[in-house]
Amino acid sequence: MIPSVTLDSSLVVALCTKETDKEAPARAALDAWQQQGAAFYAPGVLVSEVLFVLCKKRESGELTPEEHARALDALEVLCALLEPMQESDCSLFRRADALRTLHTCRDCADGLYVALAEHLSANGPAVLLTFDAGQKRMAEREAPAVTVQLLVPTSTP
Amino acid sequence: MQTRKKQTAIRFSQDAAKLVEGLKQVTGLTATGVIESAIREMAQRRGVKLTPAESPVETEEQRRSRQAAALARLRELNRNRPYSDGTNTLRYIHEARAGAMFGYEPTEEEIGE
Repeated sequence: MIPSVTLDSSLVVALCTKETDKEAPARAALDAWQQQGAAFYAPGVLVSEVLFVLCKKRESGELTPEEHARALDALEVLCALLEPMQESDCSLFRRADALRTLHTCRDCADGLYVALAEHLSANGPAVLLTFDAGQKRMAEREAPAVTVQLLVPTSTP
Repeated sequence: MQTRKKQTAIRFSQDAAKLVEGLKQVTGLTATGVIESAIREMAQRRGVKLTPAESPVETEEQRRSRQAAALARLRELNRNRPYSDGTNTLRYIHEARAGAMFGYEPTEEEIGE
């Protein structure tokens, strides 16, 4: 069976901006899953979130305009890695809302990633790749069918 | 009995042939794989939906080739590029999810950890 791997924004930003402590573990995880023949997915909201983060980093000076442009190029490449979704986020929103355990609106968006991974788990092994411990906690509490691979930043690139 | 896939010969300009050869070496794809991958990426970027006849179901081999090409391209893009500080990334993502990407200014409690 082909493993389904859902990518979180935290991993995609780490790769797009070549983050000091996260690019290497993100890269290693992607390579390892690709070698296992995995298919990669993300909810549609990923692009909005990544664009927002890149814009914030550019505004704050964390990225120069040139680095921002390269990050967009990398995002384009990562989009080509993703499988086309047969269904849109419309098929996930009810489950995402139900996963809103902490009763903050932020959890709705976190829930879309967990809901997608849960949806994919119906067809075989499914993993959510993230640097966000909050998503792991959410999945453990509310969506036990989902395996969250929590990536750990490294001290050196 | 072995069947053969129908093949079509295409003539390239010298520049195009060099581009295909360069991408073959970077991605490890065949010339056909490079061209297919380029067409798919261009169609995706420009929002062009290929008709079913033009876009047959991707085989496992084609999927792996597409992934390998994307990962090789990413490696190439990040080569000789400076690292960036990722300290604030999770905070920005949490702000976005709490509504900041739609103009709302979330409180610290709403942003969370």
